[in-house]
Amino acid sequence: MSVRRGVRRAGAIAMLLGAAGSVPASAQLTPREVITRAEIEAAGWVRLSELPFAVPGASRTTVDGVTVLGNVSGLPTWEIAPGRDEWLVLVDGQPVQPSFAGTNVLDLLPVAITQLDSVVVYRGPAFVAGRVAIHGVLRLYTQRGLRGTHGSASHYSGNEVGDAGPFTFTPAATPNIDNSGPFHALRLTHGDTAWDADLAFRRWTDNITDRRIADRHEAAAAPEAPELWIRHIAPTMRAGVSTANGRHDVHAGIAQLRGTFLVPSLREEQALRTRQGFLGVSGDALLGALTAGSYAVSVSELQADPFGAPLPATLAHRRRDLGATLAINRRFSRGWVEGGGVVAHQRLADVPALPAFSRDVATGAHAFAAAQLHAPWSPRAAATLGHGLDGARMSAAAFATPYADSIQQLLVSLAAERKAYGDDGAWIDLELLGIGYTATTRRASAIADVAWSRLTKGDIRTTIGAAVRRETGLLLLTRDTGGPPPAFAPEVSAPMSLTLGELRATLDFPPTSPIQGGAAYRFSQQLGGWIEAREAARSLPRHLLDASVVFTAFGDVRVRPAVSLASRTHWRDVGGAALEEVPAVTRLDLSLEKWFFHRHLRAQLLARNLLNDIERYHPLGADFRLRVFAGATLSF
Amino acid sequence: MVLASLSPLAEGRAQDSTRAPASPAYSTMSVGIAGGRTIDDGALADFWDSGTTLRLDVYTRFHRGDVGAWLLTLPWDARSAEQPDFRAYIFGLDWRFTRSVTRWLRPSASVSAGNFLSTFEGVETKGLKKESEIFIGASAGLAVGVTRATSLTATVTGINVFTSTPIRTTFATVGVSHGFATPGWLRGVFE
Repeated sequence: MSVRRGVRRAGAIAMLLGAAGSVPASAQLTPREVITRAEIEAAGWVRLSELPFAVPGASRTTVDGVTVLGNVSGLPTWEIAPGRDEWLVLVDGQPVQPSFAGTNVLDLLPVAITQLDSVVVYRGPAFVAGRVAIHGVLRLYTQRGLRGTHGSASHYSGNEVGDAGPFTFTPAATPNIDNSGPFHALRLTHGDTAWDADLAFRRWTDNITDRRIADRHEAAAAPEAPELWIRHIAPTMRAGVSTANGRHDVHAGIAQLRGTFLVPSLREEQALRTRQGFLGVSGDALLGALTAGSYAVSVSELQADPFGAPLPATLAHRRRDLGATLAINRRFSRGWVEGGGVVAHQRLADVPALPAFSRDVATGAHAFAAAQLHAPWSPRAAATLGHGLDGARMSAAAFATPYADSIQQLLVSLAAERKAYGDDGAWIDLELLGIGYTATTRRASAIADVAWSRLTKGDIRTTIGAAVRRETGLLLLTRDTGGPPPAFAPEVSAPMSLTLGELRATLDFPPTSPIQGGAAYRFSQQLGGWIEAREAARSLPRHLLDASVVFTAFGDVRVRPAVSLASRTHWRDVGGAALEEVPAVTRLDLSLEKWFFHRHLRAQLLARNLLNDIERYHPLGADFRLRVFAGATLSF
Repeated sequence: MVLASLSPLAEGRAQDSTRAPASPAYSTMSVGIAGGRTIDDGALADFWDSGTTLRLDVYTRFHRGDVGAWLLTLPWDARSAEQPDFRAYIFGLDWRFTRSVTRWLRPSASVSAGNFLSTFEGVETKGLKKESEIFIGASAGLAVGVTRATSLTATVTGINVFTSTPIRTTFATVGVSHGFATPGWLRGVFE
């Protein structure tokens, strides 16, 4: 079989593989949001940590704009004792964990935003990579099938309002507000029909001059000066080869982020140098006329070291992850079936306080099976069954389309998961936070989701949906504020339950439309559960509206106005007793792009929070005022 | 802002850039130089006296109106020893609309946004030697053609700098502007 024919066949494999492989977004039935490369560029997202802001209707919470809390599912995980009760993050089908202690550091992912082809977000249940994902999925796809030699280099820099300027030298002086950036990215690609390689390098610095954060850092570091700069550097690469029977890729990257961050669940500062290395191999292959297999094997190491001023550094540790997924898919005349297994091992090192017997913090394996029938309602189901450190774990998901024609579709999704709370690294994060072991509890999640979508005039897709999520065995973090130092005195609540309801409506312009973008509205409400858990869920905005459009004006200028509205939120204070209010967010963004040199040079001007309203996402978080970024990307 | 006489004057015919342009975008451009003073120093007047303003600008015809960039610089002398002297470099991107009243008389209006950079003299502390701030502004201008390609210009520009104490200052400049057909290589850059 020729290589070229093999490439075509690799595309067929992707369609053949149901769940564990690199299934193209268009082949997925689960409710999802797709963010294209063009939308990422038009919005001016230059850091991976900005991606949550690109997902319409998703809750996003950040203290400093770099670390992101929670997930896209709508569960207030920043209030919950951390573990892997979080979203699933995949890079070309490879699971990567960019989080620790409940804080997501997406910039540690082994991929550059310049390498992305699209980002797919599942806020509801999904079955991907051999896993039933209950709490949302962030799936990043890199560009594949690269041909020829191409490269790009970009530079962005920003400025925020509110600095004293010349008045620094007068009685009217106010604290310094410094520039943002610069943000640099380089990329070089080469490929032909049989293989391609994609090298990227990114680097940026950002100065935390928001006084709400800087004052806190200075107080925590006193009498020494705090580190107010966040510095990031990351080389990443992907290389792939198309053989006669399939496609195989290797991903590698080392990402380092150094700075002072807040651990929201404890409300303590951490001065950390965090580095994550990742090496993964994945691929798929035809094993027969109707049978295909896929695999993904990865090893990663996260290392967090204290540096600079002697802030509490209890999160300093080293974590090694090994993971492997194998799936076999067979197509029949009436559908397809898939089966396989997932093995994961996580080990902790360089934590002297941790007993040796507890360093293997997440060892487990599970088998999975999935099937879809070409029958009325197009039923699709998946189930997993496995064993972790602390007992059995199981999950299941089912999807059905009771009604579908060329105009409209009704999709019903159900999913549930049950496991011991000690599984999947929950213990180690609790240990790092100084809490130590907690009694093993049973943790269960269930979600039901109904979505109806309809194509209207101009192929604009309108979707309305509703979801109910039930969580049991939740452990909330609190802090004992009455005791003497040491500062860390966290406590974990008794297991609690929480029921959340959600209504949503979205409007999406078709990709072929001259105007792209859309709008998403979400209403969420606590429907039941323990009062403490319901109060924790009030940290989610009840109303959330995101809307943006991207259109080309005059032929060579692209414009993207965007609006983001979120109602006020309420957060439990340090002791977990009172509620602090964070005001509503009204944010208006504008992006202007102009191409030069026959589209080889793209210049961009970005304004975030044009109304200069208070934009804050956490009681201890920064006030993100009006800021303007300018940048240019040169490509060949 | 200098009201540049773009190629319409050079071509011997008045054009109204608020209407659909007869020539494609980037077909003509202009460069200008002007000098002047501040009309209103705003809150800076409490601590500094402004000096003579020098302004350079370049514009090209756009799909609607003209787009361009201007750099305006002026010194600010401290009124007391407690404040350092500083020089401001004000860089703005401008979108301008002109209207022909007569063959040689062209008023204009524009909006701009950019960066207000202050460089302080005698300040050695790292991080305090220069400060960079965002501003938005608007201009009104008048160009009087003296030849087919050259105009005398008068411009009044007001800017609002988003500092903690807002700087709202207004400049008046007079100068000269010269229009010409965009060189082919430069038009290739724009396109």
